Amino acid sequence: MAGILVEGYEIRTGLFYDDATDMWVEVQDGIAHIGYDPLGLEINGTLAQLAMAGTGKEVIKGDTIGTLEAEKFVGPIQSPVSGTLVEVNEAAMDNVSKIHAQPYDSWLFAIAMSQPSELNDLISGDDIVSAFESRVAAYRVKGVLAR
Amino acid sequence: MTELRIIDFGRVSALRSQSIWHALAASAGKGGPTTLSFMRPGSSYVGIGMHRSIQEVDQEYCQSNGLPIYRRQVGGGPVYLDDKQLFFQVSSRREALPISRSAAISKVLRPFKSAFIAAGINADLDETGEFAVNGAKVCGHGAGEIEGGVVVVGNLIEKFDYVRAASIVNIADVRVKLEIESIMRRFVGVFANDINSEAFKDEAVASLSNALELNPKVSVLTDEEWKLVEAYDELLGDSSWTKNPEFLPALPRPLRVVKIRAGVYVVYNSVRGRQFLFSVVFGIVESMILEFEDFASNSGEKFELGVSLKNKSVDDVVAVLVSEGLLLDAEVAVLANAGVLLKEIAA
Repeated sequence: MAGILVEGYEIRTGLFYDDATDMWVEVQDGIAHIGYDPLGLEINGTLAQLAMAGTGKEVIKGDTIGTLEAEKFVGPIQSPVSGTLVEVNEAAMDNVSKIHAQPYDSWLFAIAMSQPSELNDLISGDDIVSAFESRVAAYRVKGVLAR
Repeated sequence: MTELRIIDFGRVSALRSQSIWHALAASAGKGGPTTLSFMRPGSSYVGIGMHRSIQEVDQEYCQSNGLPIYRRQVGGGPVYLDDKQLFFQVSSRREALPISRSAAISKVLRPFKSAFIAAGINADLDETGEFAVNGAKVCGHGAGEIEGGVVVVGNLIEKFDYVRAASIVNIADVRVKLEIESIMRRFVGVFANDINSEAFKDEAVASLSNALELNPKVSVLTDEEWKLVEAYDELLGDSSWTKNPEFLPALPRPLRVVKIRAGVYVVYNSVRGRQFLFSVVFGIVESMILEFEDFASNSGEKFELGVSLKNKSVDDVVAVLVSEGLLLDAEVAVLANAGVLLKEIAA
């Protein structure tokens, strides 16, 4: 899958993005594999720990499905889609430093989607680049990112 | 300009010294005011971070010493807490703070520098984001998002019980505990007399309200907030929450990393045949012992190797341990995740 650098951050045009959770979503056969995009990782800071719910948990889009710890800050991991948690990437949980180095090879959890139409709410296709540029600009206005 | 609510709870029970600020964060998430609060636990206890296993705590020691264990919904490891520590907390709506987590913590903590100075501690926020004096951490801190509100917590350490702080760590080998205690004595605590906690509070109020551009106003909890406190009493006081929170933390591994402060760690591996113990002080390895179970009789190669690795960069030492077969790839990842390594090492 092609990667493009936008404002110094790699994005992949074949994925879906959710700017509410700063996550990428890859869907195959109704299963969404989900991870943090590079901008989300920068905002969270250096990850130290992740903890996820057990498989089988049913979530509605926006529900907390786990927690992360970065810079001694504990916050929720929210699911960008509704469905059932079917898999947790234990390898990523065990090696969080790899998540920063290879965010697109580090999906965190997989959801069997119950509302496939929610994909229409995510950013995809030709909109990805402009949406990402807007997110970076917005975060820079807020002083979150260096110029 | 809106208000910064100030509440000094004084001396509270050990459980309340946790449940109150959890409730304040949850209240902020529901639209409650930004609040600076102070409190002091009336009795000693052990706090454990949201993502740490209860097995990291020496539960037998805690029980025999009357130390309850409470799991907090912020980060960090197991810590010993007592009435010689003045806790401070800032709770706020998520939107009122920078979206970047490190920026949010920094914005809240930075104003406390003048409070430490007013208390008689010449502390500064160092490059690791901790308040320190000559390399020794003088304030433990953590942060979390609880029910939509954010809380940053810290403490003014007036006196530190090193023996108890090392004893609560669940490690069988007494030599490792002694190493932890020894490193703590160098890198945690305040080396000042007559710490003025009242001056700390007064200056914290002035400095934080100025930084957040809010008017300080002494106030109390609402009835609704007391109900939240009682709800958190129930949650945090429930041993099943302490042992098995909703999102289960990873179990400790044979390779343990005990963080003393940012940049300072005690690392040991309890796997028979691959045992080692060393301390990392700002990237440099100290006190290296290999195969320490047989250390008394070990005058051979491993001893020589251990000596040769002292005072070397932690990355160089880890590379040697990998090449000697004493450290596995997965264990290198543990060190990387814990922040022990200076840069990524190809194992």
